[in-house]
Amino acid sequence: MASTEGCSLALSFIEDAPSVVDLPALVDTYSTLLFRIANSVLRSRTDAEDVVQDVFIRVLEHRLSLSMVRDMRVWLIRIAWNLALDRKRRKRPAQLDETFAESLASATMPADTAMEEAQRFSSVLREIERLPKAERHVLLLSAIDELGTTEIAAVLRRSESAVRALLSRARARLRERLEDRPQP
Amino acid sequence: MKDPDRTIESLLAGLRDAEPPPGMHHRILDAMIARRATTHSPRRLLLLAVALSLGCALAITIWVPHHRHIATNLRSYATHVDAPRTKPARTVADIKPREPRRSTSRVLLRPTQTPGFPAPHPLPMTEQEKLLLHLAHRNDAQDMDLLNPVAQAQQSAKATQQFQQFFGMDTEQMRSESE
Repeated sequence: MASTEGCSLALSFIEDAPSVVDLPALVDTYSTLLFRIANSVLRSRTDAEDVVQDVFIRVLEHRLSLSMVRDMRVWLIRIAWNLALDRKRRKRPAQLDETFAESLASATMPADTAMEEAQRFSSVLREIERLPKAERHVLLLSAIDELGTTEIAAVLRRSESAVRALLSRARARLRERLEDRPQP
Repeated sequence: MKDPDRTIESLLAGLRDAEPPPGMHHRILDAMIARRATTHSPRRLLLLAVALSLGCALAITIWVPHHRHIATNLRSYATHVDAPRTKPARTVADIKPREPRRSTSRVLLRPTQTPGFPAPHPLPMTEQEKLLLHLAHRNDAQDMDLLNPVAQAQQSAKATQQFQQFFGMDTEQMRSESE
């Protein structure tokens, strides 16, 4: 927060007359959420940060039409989601899954069990990638705690009932496939 | 895999609680400032548009009176010249060599074209001119009689009568004697 306050003055000239949106405040409010969304898709902190930066660059480019945006939060999430998916298409699948799983396990587990947990995480990530696209997208967005079913439906342009059904099927399919896998 | 639900939840919790790298906010704001510096601002574009529109308005204000003056000249020319715009096809014979424009001839003719200027008196004929006129009009009455049929008939009858008086016989008598 303190770091963005320092930039508020520097960015004050960005706030041109027709725009009523406070861009530094937008960055402060939404950058963490957007980072988590991009990180869940890309599984790379560097790429996720680049996506967040691209999102706000686009906001800057369209700042004159921001007043027409009905729901700023959903609009930003949708931009970040689409940019992350675009970036992921250019990457090889499972390119960084091992590293990502290790970093995730080391952050949540003690060192003696982190290796084993990292292998399990890696298996789960591989199975998530094998899910049908709609189910995978709903599962990844549902992982973000701040997003409810309504917002997920708005981001994916689906009905709330469809989102709930997809999420239920995704979890069931993932559980079933993981149970069939041998213990790592 | 044992207890897949717990592993799934652990993974999703890891995704949910991922913290952005330190300094990300600042880097994003710096990138926005850098981007803003490289792109044209709407205010600058607005100024450019205003300058362009002023330039166009100035050009129109200069061009329209000039164009109107040309149009007026053409209209007055069209009222003076009633000839149709589409000229008939001209042959080579119709094309006359253009005479050189002489400004002096117009200046010399101008006094004679004014309404109050009297026509100049004819000059007296020279001796050569009088002689030529006399030669041209000599035996003028005889030449005109040749062209008159009545006078020609009278002259022919008079010549026949003189012939008969000279020889003392008429034409019928002469023809019987010869036979």
